[in-house]
Formats: sequence, C-alpha cells, structure tokens
Amino acid sequence: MSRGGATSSDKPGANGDPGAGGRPRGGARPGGNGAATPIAVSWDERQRRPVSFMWRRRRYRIERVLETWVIETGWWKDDGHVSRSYWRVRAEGRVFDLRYDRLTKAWALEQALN
Amino acid sequence: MSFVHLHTHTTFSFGDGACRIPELVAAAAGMGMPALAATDHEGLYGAVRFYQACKAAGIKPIVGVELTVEPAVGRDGRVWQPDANAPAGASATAGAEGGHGGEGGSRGAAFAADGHIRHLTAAATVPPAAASAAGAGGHHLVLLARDYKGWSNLCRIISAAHLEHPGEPPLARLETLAEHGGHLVALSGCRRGEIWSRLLAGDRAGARAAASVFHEIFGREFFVELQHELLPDSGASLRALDLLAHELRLPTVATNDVHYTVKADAGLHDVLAAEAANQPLPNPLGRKNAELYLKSPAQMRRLFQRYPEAYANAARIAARCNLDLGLGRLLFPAYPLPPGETAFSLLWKRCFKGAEQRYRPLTAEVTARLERELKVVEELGFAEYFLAVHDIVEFARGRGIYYSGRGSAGNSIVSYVLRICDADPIAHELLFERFLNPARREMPDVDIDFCSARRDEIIQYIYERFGHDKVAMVATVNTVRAPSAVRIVSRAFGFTPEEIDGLSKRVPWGSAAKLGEMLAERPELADHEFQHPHYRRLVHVAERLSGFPAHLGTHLGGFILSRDPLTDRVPLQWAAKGVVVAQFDKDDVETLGLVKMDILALKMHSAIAEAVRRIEARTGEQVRAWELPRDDPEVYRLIRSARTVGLFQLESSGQRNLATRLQERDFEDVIAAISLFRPGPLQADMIAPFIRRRHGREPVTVPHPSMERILRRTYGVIVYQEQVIEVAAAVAGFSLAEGDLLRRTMTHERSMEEMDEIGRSFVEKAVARGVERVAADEVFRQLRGFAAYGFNKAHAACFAIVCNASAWLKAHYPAEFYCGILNNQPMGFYSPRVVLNDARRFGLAVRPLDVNLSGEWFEVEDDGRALRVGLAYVKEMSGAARRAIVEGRGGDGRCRVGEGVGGPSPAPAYAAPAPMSPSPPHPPSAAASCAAAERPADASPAGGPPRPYTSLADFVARTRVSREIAENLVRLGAFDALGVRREELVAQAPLLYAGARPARREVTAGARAAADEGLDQPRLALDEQFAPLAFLPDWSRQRRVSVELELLGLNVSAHPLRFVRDQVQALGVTPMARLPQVAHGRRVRLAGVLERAQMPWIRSGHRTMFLTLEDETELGQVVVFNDVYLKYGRVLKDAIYLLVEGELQNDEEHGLAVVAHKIMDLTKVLGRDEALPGGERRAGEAGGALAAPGSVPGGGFAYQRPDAWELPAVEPRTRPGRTG
Repeated sequence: MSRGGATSSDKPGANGDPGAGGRPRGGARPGGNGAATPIAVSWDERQRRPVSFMWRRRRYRIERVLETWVIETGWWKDDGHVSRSYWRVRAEGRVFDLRYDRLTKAWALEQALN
Repeated sequence: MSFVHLHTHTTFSFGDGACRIPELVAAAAGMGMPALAATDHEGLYGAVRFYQACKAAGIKPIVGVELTVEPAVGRDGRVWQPDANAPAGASATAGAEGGHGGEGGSRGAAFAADGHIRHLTAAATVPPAAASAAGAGGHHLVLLARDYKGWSNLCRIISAAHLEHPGEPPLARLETLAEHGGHLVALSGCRRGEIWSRLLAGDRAGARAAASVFHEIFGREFFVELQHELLPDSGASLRALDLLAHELRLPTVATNDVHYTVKADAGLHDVLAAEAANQPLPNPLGRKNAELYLKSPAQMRRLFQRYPEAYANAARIAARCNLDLGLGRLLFPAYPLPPGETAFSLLWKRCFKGAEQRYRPLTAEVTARLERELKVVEELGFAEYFLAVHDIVEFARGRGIYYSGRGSAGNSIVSYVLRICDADPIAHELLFERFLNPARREMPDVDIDFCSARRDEIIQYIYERFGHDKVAMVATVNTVRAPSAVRIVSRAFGFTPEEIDGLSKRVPWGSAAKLGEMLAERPELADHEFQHPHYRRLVHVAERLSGFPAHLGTHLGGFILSRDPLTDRVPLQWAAKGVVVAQFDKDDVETLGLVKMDILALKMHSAIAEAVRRIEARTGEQVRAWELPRDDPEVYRLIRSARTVGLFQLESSGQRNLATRLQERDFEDVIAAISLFRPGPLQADMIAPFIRRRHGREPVTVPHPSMERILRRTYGVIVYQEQVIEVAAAVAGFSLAEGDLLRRTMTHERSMEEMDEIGRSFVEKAVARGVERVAADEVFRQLRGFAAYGFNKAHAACFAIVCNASAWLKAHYPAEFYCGILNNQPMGFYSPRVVLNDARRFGLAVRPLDVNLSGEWFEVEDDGRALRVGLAYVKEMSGAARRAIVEGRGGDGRCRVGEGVGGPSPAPAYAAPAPMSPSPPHPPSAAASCAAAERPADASPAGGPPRPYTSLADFVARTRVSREIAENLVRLGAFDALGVRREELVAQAPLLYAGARPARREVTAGARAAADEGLDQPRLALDEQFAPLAFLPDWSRQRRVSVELELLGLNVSAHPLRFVRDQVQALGVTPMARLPQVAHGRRVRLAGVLERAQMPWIRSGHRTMFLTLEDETELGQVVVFNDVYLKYGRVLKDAIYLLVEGELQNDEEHGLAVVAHKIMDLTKVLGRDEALPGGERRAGEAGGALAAPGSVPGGGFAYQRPDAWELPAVEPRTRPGRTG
C-alpha cells in the first residue's frame, strides 16, 4: 500500500492528477471542520514538523508527512476567524489528518484513514 | 543558493495585486534576494517605477507580465499549430505597427487597411483583473523579458492583445506569441494557466498538449511553474505538474504568485478580490488562506524540499534576465527632411524666415540671440523636436485654428519666431536659460492651448502626420481615495447600502492614508463614527487601501510622439472613446525619454474666434487677435474698473480685487497681475510691497545696483523666475545657466541647513566679486523668500496676450465678445447668468427668445447694441431641434415679422449681414476667422424665401419638435410676438400634442413628412377652434423671471432682486456698484445672489472663504474668516440669496471687499417662506421654489397672488463644500 514517491497510491488520484477540487478518494475530507479529537503532539522545531502524537493512550510516531495545507479565512468577521494548519501524516502504517489551530494553539486529530 | 520571486503582482495589477512597489522591493532587498520580478496582469503599468525602485535598492529588476492567452487546445480538442504559411506581415501586431497586411481586417486587427485606428463603439476596456476573475475565455501565462528586445516583444504582444479586442478584455493569440516570443522566458502560470487548469479538470492529455505547444513556441525558455499554495490540493497538484514536466522533459520553476508583500496584507487582497467579483466576503472564488506573500528563501526551500530543481531554477532564470531600459536617453520624433537638408539647417531657415516677419527691422540683438539659442538647440539635439512642433502650429494656422503656446517655451526666441509662442522674449526680458539649460539635458516642456472646438482636427492631423503607429495618448493612473476606499471595504464587509453610502460620505477631509492617525489625534473627530470599535478593522483596511491605483485614465491632452513604432517601446491599449493610450503616465513616459506634448483645449480661444468671426460678419473688420495693440488705453481702463467678467485670467473675484489695488496701466502690469495672484505670492505676501511701490508710497530700493535694471519693471520686487536667474548672475557672477540651476535648487523642498549652505556659497561668490557682504546677505534673503514663489514670466506673458485680446474685444465689440463667451460654455469663472447680467450692465440690450428671430446661439442685433437669447439655452433643447427651428424659417434663418401678425412689441428684425469682405492678399495669420465647423453660419442664406412661423400650431407642424421643447419655448415667451398670450398658449399646447406618440423626442432636421414620423397631424389654427382664454390672468413679472431661471438659467426680463428692491433698500443695503464710493471701514449691508464660494487652502490652517455675490448692480466680494464661517457656515450650505453684514474694505492694502460679520438667508429675513395658495412648495430642491406653471396637482392652473412671491432658485457656479 504505501510507497514513497510521486506515484504512491496514497495520493488522491491514482494516476497523477489531483482530481476535481482536489478531492481525494477514500472518504476523507481535508479542510473539514468541527468534530475533531484534541490530542497532544510533540513538535520538532528544527525540522518544523510534528514527530509524534498521543491518541487513545497510544503514542504514534510519525514516519512521514504526506501533505500539509493551511486554511485561513474569516478575518473580517468579529468571530468566525479560522486559522489552521493541517498535516496529513503516516504513522504506524495508517494515515492521519492532524490539525493545529493557530488561534487556540491546540492540536487535534481530524480523521484517521485506513 | 538564493531564491528569486518571478511571479508577483504589484498594485498595478488593478483590483488584484496588493504589493506596493516600494514595499515589495524593500522586502526583497531586505531578504537578500539578488533580483525581483514584477508580473502584473495584462500590462506593464508599473514596470517603469518598479525598474527604478529596484535599481535604487540595488537589486536587479526583472520585468514581465501575466497575460491572458487563447487556449492552446481548442474546444474541439484541436491543438494549435504554428501556421507555417502565414506571411510575415499578416499578424495583427504587424498591423499594430502600421503595416497594412491585407488580412488586418479579418483578424480583427487594431488598424484598418488604410492605417486608421478602428474606433471603439462599445464602452471602455474592462479592467484586467475583472476580466481574469471572470475567466474571459483564456488562460494565464507569465512572460519575463530577458533583455530590451524582450521588452519590445512584450510591448508588441501586450499591445496586440489589447488592440485586437476593442471593448473586450485583452487576449493574446498564440500566433502573436510565436512571432514575438523571442528574448522572453515563459512560465506556465497559476492554476488559471492552461496546464494546471487542465490537470485540475482531469484532462491530462490536454495539459500535455498545451505544454507541448508552449514548448514549441518558447523552446528551452519555457518552464512549468510550481506553486505551493498550502491548499488541500496543493501537494497533489505539484506532483501532477512535476510528473508532466518530467514526462515532457520540461524544466520546472518554483514561484509563489505573490499578491501581497507580507502575510498581514492578505486581507487587502481578499477585499480587492471581493470588489472585483462584486460580492461581499467570503468570496466563493477567493482563496482560503493567506500564503501568497513574499516568502523568504528559507521558506521557499522548505516548501519545495521535494522539488529542489524547481527551487534552484528560480535564481538561474533570474541570472539570465538582464534588462536595461536605457534610461537617460531622449528619443525624438523623426521629421521628414527634404534632400540636402539636415534638421538643423531646416530649422535655421525657418527661424530666420520667421524672424524677418516678427522683427521689422531685424536687429543685431535678434540675430545674435537667435544664433545663440539655435546653437544650444543643436547641441542638445532638439532640432527635430522644434520642427515637429512648428509643423503642428503651422497646420493650425493654415486652417485658421486659434492656439497659444505657453509655459517656459515662451522664454525662447526660437519659439517666438516659429510662432509657437507669441511673447517677444527680447521685449519682455525673458531668458532662454529658463527654458533650455545646456547643463541639464531634459525634455523641453511645450504646452499649447488650442481652440477647444477644433482641437480634434489638430489631433487627427498629428496622427496622420506622424503615423498612427507612432502617436498615442498618455495615461493617468487614478488612485483610490479615502471615500472610495471606505466604500470598497464596507462593500466587502457586507454592510448595507445605506451604511456604505453614509460611511463613505462621512470620511473626514484629509489624507486617507492617515485616517487612523487623524482619528486618534484630532479632537474634533473624537465623536466620529469611525471611532467605534465596530469600524476599527474597516478603518485599518481602508487606510492600507488608499492610494492604490484604481484604474487607468487618459491624460487630458498628453500625446507621445515617437520616431519608431510605439509598440517597440511602450505597450498600448484602448481607452474610452476609441483612443489608443500608452500604459504609462506622463512621468514614466518622461523617464523612458519619449517626447510628450500637451495638446490642450481652451474655450477662450473658441470664444475669441467666434467673436472675431462675428465682428467680420457685421462690420467687415478683420481682427488679428494676437496682433492687437498692447497699449490701448481703453483696455486698461476696463481692467482698472474691475469690470472684467469674461476676461481671460483677470475675471476672477480675486483678480478683480487685485485690480482695484494695482490699477493696471500697461502690459507689464497685466503680466505682473497674472503672476502675483497665485497662492505662493499671496502667502509670501509679495503683493503688498509691490503695490505700495507701484503707487509710489514706498521708495523703490534694491540691495545692489546691478539689480536695478533687472527689477525696474517690477519696482524693485522680485516677481519672476527670470529675475531670480538674472539676479544670481548679476550679483554672484553665475552664468545664466547656473543661475537657473540655483533657482531650481531653491524651489525644491530644502531643509534650513541646506538653504543656509546654499546661501553661504552665494554670498561668498558675491563677496569675491566685490559686493559688500551686507548687500549680498540681503540679496540672498530676498531670493530665498521669493525664489520659490516666482512665476515664469514667459508663461504669464503668453497668457497676457490672450488676456489682452479678450479685453480689447470686450472694450470695443462687447456684443460679439459676449456672444463668444455665452456660446462656448461652460467656461470661465462665472455662470452664464452672471455673464449675461454683466452684458446688460455694459449697456447691451438683452432681447428675449423669439421663434422667428432667435438663432441657435446668442446673436448680435441692432448693429452691436443688443444680444438676442439663443435657442440652445432652452431646457430640453436638442441640436436637431434647434436646427429644425432655424432652417424651418427659411431665408437667412432670421425672419422679419410682418406688421399684422406682430404682437405688442415686435422685435426689430436683424438686417441682412454685410457681404463678406474679399480674402486678404497675404496668407492668413492665426487671427484669421476661425470657422466653427459645427455651427452653421447663421448669416448664410439657408435658401428659399423667409417663412416666419405664424402661430404655435404652425410652428409645431413645421418643426416637429417635442412637446417639452414647445412648451418651454411658450413659457419663455418665444411666441409672444405672434399675438397670443403665453398664458393661453400654455393651456393650448398639450392639445396640439394629444395623440402624438410620446416616445418620439428628437426631430431630425428636414423631416417634414407627416404621420409616419410619429407625430399626428397637429390641429392647425388651434387658436381659432378654441375661444380665447382671456380669463386666464397674466403671469406676474416675477413669475416670468422664475421661469427664465428654471428653463434658461438666465435672467432675461429682470434680475430676481428687482422685485424686492424696496424691501432690500429698507434694510439699509448698499448696492454693490456704489461700494467704491463708500469709505473704508464703514459697516455695510449687502444683499445678493450667491454666485461662487471659494475656500483656498492656506497653509496656516485657518480657513478663509471668499464669496462672490451678485446684485442688480454689480458683483461683490465677501470675505468670511474662520470664526464667522463656524457661526454662519450652515446658512451658506442651502441659502441662495444672502444678506451680509460686515465691514467694508476699500483701500489700497485690501482692495474692495466686505469682511463679513454676519450672514443671513435673505429670503428668511424678508419673511417669504410661507406656502403659496394653489401652488406647491418643494422644500430643499433647487429649482423648486416655484412649481412649474400649469403642473399643479389636480390639473388646475396655479393661481398666484401678485405680491406674494418667492425669490426663485438660482444655481450658483459653485457651492460651499464644492469649492473651485
């Protein structure tokens, strides 16, 4: 299942295109909102990436960062300002979407794939 | 390895980019980047500034553009192929260069086969960003220039993209790219580039095909652009793009599509995008994050850690781009030279030929000066430039088009002999060095005012003479001002329309960029809405938005004249009205070394031309306007009397006041008056000493005897810039050229220390020549005080010549003069109403509208003793209707009314004009009659016997004018001479039009056929069918005055104040004409109509307002100081008739004016704000003081008590708050 490189099957489209709207297969929805589990994440400042996280009382070591993106919007409203960075990581053989809320300075697990 | 950003959008990506060029460049330099690119949408608007900013910051400028390009893969899947068979000149860019290219038309080329520019019929061009937002059928592509040839290619490609699509967003064709794609680097663009957008759509094959096409066109200079936007699909996008590039063996490059300099400015971009999409935030088409800022090399490296080649290629590409714009050159238009001649020899010949005519006899002084000037002209290489300008003015003179050169060009005898300017530099002591300084090789500054009515002919000639491909207009960049910024931001924030409107109107006066600061500091703004925290974000964003370029406009009269096809050097596009404009403003054009000429329009020339034409028509005398005597005592008597309404430059209230103090008596005085009445001298208080010395109340002294000659005509006061130069030369031994440099140095903003330094140097030089230190100090003190405010005497002299012409005409032929002024509105300082009243005060009779005697425009009658009101002033009147009325009368257009048909006072008929005098033996000078082409000479017989209109019905049947026009004419008494009262005709008129189709408003001249024109056959002889409506009361005279104001904007039968004369007198009001006889310091009361309010901004911060009032007798000036303004300013907002109490100033120091202590609304004082019975009062509406006669609800007629009368509404020339 998992292979490194650009032709890895764990990217959204199987044959090299991001697909319409960048929507991946598999039901996961990046950039989602709400329903996420707060987790603790340890962060490597030098490499500027998360290295491991705690979930369900287990420590998951992050092997590889697959994707990263940022959503930042709603600044013109008094409330409704969203500023989050997202990390799609592979850890212990599974793919997780982690997100860091820059306003609340909190990490959360958004979803776990496969 | 460092990184260079190759894809950025400055604020000159209108409506999309938010990077201010200075900030962007500073940020890049601060990050240690060796170079920076600017790639704005569809043009090079900011390129010159960008280039200069980078050079100043020490980094390399890379100039480029992000273009919208036609798809490489068509809708049918067909891939573009270069057309191997296309002849070299077939592309539209060849057309843009003026070549004919038989296919020019079929391709929609900008230039038709005959070389003329296809004119625009649709609206102005769409701003580029909006086009991009709308996805105008093309894809984005980024192009960068590698060198100057690349720059030229960019100009050609951009010009073609614009010019080929008039009225539409620009679109570049692939053929154009193929033909002019050399010396460029191409990047595949953002997600709206064809490759990426096809990948997003799942069309891999199409993406590959497109990439192949670009590879075909640009070869190894084509790069696939990778942008990591940190959006959810970014990773996938990058992989796909990289894969594609790998498959096709194309290189990649990393960019960040920079739209804002720092992350914090992302909001600005969001607001711009919302504005472009015409939607409040959140903009569905907008970005979801704020990552498009100028990221550091470290950030970019991290983002592209999986694509190190793409990262490295950015700097590699930058290393290959080395553009040198060659600033500092001057590029003159080519002038076709006859064989055997050089530009210099031809110029020489023309100058001496001109000198022989200008100077009779020719003197050694003249020839010496001419030789000296021509030598400098030749050294600087300006000979062709002068030949070009001479060519243009010769054309104007040949056609009898009035013009006057002005500005520093008037300092040159070359200009004078070539008849570019009319001020004799020797007689007026004008210095050549003020115009051309051998030490500074700058573009000469020549501005020419042409008769506004005929300026288009000049422009047409310039295009034809120099080539359509070598002439274009100069642009201006309109920037976002504070109210606009507030409006844009509040729209983006989704405020309601009322809120948006209210907020933008409440923006405090002052610099928008300091809005926040002002709110914080100014106590009077402590309660302003914007202080509310709800608006804090709005204020912050609006502040940052202010000063952004909003859109491109056209400079009023600036033209570029080029030697080579312009598209080699500047990009062109359409502006409104089918005009081709360069994408640069006048500063950029000058920086690039191109010649810009200002071809301006002056209504005064049209007025003078018309007056001269009428004088010749009536009397046969040929007036040569610019050769009139300049010592006519009548002219100066007129100026001294301050009755200068209509005079060029001397008619304003301020100048009239100055005239009472200065008492001009010769031409030099007029030049001085024009020069002194400017903000500078007013502030520096130069006028008072000048006047004192002029009248001998102060001794005329100069600090050093060498200044005596220089300052003798200005009584020892330094008034002119030329004098500053001469003084520097005479006292400190500078050469004249050096003197001009000194003057310039002193006119720029200098710190105290810098000025002191200049002073020390000056004094030392003077002392070294034997001047006493005390004297030298004093000389410099005077220079320092006046150098900044001195006026260019040549400019003033050129103006004075025009002024002299206007004054002479007013003094000797007032009727023709007033016709000129009244028939060329809008112009001048005063409204037409005041001008006409002035005519009456001048002794001319004003004859009312008459359907059988009034021409289309104001006419002269009674051998120059009367003016006849013209049809054009009637509300709702159209050009076609005017012509129909005049031509329908037959004969010479003016009909004598027979005895029997005439009414109570038939106006005497105007005698047929004297036959035109034979043409003069020598070629016409500039003063020859200027035929206003669009005004048919009413003196020429229209053919056929005269057929006056005999009744309203007859008139309507023959002219077919609209109902509004007919009714307005009736109300204005145009039919009074035909025997039926207007009161009755008003009642009958609607019946004439009953059954007529209402849609038809225009009547074309000559359309005399009946029912198919849309007007039913009117009932003829209506007045016979109906019994006379004798019971209808006559309108009062007051009512007639109201109607005249409403429907003509003029006072014809009487001045409105006529009817309250007694009451006003009872209030102790002094008629303004009597003020000169009242002693200085006396308290007076004035009553008058508010004509104009001015509030010049004085540096001290105290606002002083100047009001121009008009009563029956004269115009008067009222000065309102700050404290009075604060108390009574509210009155000025709404009141039209004022009662002013104040103290009279009537001495040499202050001139004639009243300093207001109290300002009241006259109508309130007279107690006239009760409602009229049967009438309707519309409060607060201009023109609403009196309901339109006959339009009372219920269909009845308004009954009016004769003595209960409202002073009618008058529209002043300017209102307080819109000061002019």
